[in-house]
Amino acid sequence: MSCTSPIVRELSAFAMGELDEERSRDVLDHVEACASCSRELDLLADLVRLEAEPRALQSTRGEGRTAALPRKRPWRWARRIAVAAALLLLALGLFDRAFDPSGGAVRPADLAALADRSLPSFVAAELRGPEAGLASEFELAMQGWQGPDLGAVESSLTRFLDAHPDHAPARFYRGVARRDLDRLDEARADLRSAVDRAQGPLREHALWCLAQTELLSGDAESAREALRTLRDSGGDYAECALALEERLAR
Amino acid sequence: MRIPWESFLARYRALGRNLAAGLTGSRDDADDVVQEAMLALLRAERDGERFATLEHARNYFLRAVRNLALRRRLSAANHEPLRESLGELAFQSEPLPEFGGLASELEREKARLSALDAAVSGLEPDARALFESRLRERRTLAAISDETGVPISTLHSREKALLERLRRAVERAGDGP
Repeated sequence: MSCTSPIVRELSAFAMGELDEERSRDVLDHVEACASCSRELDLLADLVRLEAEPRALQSTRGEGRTAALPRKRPWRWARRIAVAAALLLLALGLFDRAFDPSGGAVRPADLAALADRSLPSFVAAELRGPEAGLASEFELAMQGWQGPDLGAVESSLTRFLDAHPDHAPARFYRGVARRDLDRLDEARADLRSAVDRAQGPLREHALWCLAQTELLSGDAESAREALRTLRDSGGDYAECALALEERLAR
Repeated sequence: MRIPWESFLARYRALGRNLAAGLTGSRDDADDVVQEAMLALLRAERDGERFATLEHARNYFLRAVRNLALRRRLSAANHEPLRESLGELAFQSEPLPEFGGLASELEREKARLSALDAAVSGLEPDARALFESRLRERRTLAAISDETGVPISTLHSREKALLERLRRAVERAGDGP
């Protein structure tokens, strides 16, 4: 359960060294008693570390202390043979197949690893349609979006969509909720519907989430199609789409 | 619990430095304060203090950072190395104690940081912009609010949602902070 204390708002300021002694003491007092904020502080410690010491990740990617241990010299002739064999396979276009037990077919697990299942940021301005009454009804359905019970939000959005089936933001958010509930086929249908109905930033959000959902479903071709559309749109997501397309190509 | 010194230092050094720099107003002093606080923690453990969890040790360390930073700021003899008055010089020449489970600790750390790095890389443009302003450019939410015109309460909410996302991404990777 997340903490409701106002101290939560001070945590990042604490981690960045922006608080005076009184407020920093208040934060420390609170963190000692609050498991949620204690976890949050650890996350901030990691983020601060990643920013302050970019090599931290690199060093953990390495082999830790084993890197300092003496190693046997590799057999040069064996390495040369391996490189020559790899070059030959590459030349024949067989490299991927040689090391892929499925014979070159894309594996859903690999695609899933490329997908980011994080919820998109909640952009309230995009949720407000031209009809104020409808917007407030929708916002009511979205209550709890930041909370832990995604199933409840999915249900309330379903009720809302029963009455307003063409509401693009509701399609989008229900699609994201269903994706995170592992109801991938339903999520794809919702997100495609949102793409068809939405314009501007919401359409880009929907395309991005659709691409992720296609990846989770193991459908690389559909993911590429969504990414291509996103890239060609030239919006804020274009760069992300291009980067993911390149990773997919690899 | 024995404190896993290597990973503990790695994980909390930058956080302690930020806290100390904010309170002393000097990055150089902050480095000294962090070292003093680590020595204080090391001394506490050697004196028989047992920390039930890593969080207890972290809290002890952060309190030490805060207190030492305040003392340094308030000290009239600011040029006098604080460690001498604390009588902790002896610890400096001693190596940090080894800790058990090094391999598994490094593996966990690797997984956690990799997941976090991937989650940061995958942020949408608006979240990414907030993240970079805040952590990379070290700007306060008030400064960001002044420049962008976005109300500070909205920025607080966005930051909270951003941290929640990152935390969930790390937890999904199997080793939550």
